[in-house]
This record gives sequence, structure tokens and C-alpha cells, in this order.
Amino acid sequence: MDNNFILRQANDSDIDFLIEAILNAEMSGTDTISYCNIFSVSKDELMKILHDVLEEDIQGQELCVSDFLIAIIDGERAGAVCAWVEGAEGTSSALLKSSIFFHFFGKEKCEQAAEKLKIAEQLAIHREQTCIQIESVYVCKKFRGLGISNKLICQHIKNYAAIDNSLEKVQILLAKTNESAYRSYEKIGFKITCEKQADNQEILKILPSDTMIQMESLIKNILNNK
Amino acid sequence: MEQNSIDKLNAIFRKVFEDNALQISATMTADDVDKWTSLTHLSLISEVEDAFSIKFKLKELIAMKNVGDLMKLIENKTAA
Repeated sequence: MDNNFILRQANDSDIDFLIEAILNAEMSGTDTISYCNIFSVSKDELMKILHDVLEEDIQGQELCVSDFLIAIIDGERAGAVCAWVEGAEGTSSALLKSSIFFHFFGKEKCEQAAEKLKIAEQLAIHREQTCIQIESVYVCKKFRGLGISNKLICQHIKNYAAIDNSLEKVQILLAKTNESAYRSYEKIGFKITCEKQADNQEILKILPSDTMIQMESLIKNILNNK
Repeated sequence: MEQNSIDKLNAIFRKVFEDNALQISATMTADDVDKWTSLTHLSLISEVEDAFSIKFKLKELIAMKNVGDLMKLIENKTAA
């Protein structure tokens, strides 16, 4: 694999693939797309909105082209992972995303979504400032089992650590039901640090899981593990 | 920003964050307000736009780091 394996920063030519990555990561192996459920939009409408959002390339949150690394195998896009340093520009990723949603979904849809957002917020886990955040981890089916997601994650960590050696930790949020991802992250040194479970099953009408976990690791542990 | 606009903005903050004692300042950030979450952030933007009859651009929302930035934006957008 190594001879034909490349990791590179994503660019606008990758947007369609990044949308596939974001949606698949979002669904966590289910058919549930929370954005569609919360904002009452079809998958096609959502894909158009994600395209517009990605074109804006707003750093510091998971819907940003230049914060993605792409894995290429034999000239084919095999996987993608997003990463950023939380709060690096002074605003949390959660608030950046709120501003993005307000702009792209519009005031009316955001107002209509308020109740569902309130339910979804039960599973909101705080991302620690100045920690590297990993999101939208995706590998195409035919390339799974080759360790591509961890290669992408490790490369992101290496890149950020090279820019700022004061960074100490890396965090990742995932649905508890996503056991294969959990085991994969555990292999490179991530450990569970937080778990949130919804107090009622209504949340499953909106989100793919009723339990979210946060895993984290010291950057040095992951880099030493390589 | 004129005092009556500051008072108007303060009233919006108290309503959105459900805190009648909340007193805004230019240096205040989301970290200083308990209920400043993704959801209340959406309400805040919406309420401010309605109350001051303005519309924020995406880049303005993204660049906003604290209440002082919000005040400056409102001031610029409402200037005659």
C-alpha cells in the first residue's frame, strides 16, 4: 500500500468527497442524519448547504475544507479526517457552527429547530480549548481495515504539533454505538474521558445514538506510539 | 454605542440567557455566560437582528469574538 499511498490537505476539488465523509461520519453506521432531522431538510438540500458551507472554508470547526486531510490510494480518494485546534481564533467550534447554521439554514428554520436542538444538546460534550479536535473520520468501504483513519489522525496530530509545540491533548467525540471506531482509537492511545447519555429515547428520532463519548490522549503518547 | 442601544442589547441578553441580573460589557465572551450555548447563540443573533432591524453577514458573525465586537457591528449597521 505504501508506494501508492498519499496523505494531503483537502482542497475545493474534494468537496463532494468531504460531503460523503461528513454525512457518513454523522450517521455512524445508521440511516439517521441529524442535520436533516433537526433542520427539516432533505438529504439533497443538506448536501447543497454543506457544499456552500465548505466553499466558505471557515476554520476552527468540522465543516472546513482546509482542516481536512485526505488519503489517496492508487489515485483514488480512500478516506478523510477533519482536525482543528479548539478556540484557536477565540470562538468555540460550537458557536462558529451556530453562526454558520443561522446563515445557511436561515432564521426561520433555526427557530423551528429550537426544540429539537434543545433535545440534541443533552448530548453536547464540551471540547476543551487549545486541544486538537478530531472529527468526521471516514474511510471508504473498500479501503477499510488498512489503518487509514489512524494514519490520517496521526498525521493531523503531527502537523499541529509541528506548528505549536505547546499543544498537549487531542480529543475526539463519537457515538457510543460506533464500537469499531472506539476500538480503533483505543489502539493508538485514546481513552474515554466523558460519556453522556440522553434521559429519554426521543433523541433517537433526531440523532443516531442516545449516548456520546469523548476520548482523549496526550499528543506525545500518540506520537510515541507511532 | 449609545446608552439606549446598550440597554436594548442588555435586555436581549437577559431574555435570551434567562438572567435578569446579567450586565453586558465589551469584554464579555461566551465563556462568561453560563447559558451561552449553540442554541442560545442562534436565539441571540436572531433577537439582535430583529430588535435593531439589521442583518449580519456570515463573515461578521464568524469574526465576532466578544460583546464589544457585537456592539461595534450594531453601531456600524445602525449608523445613519
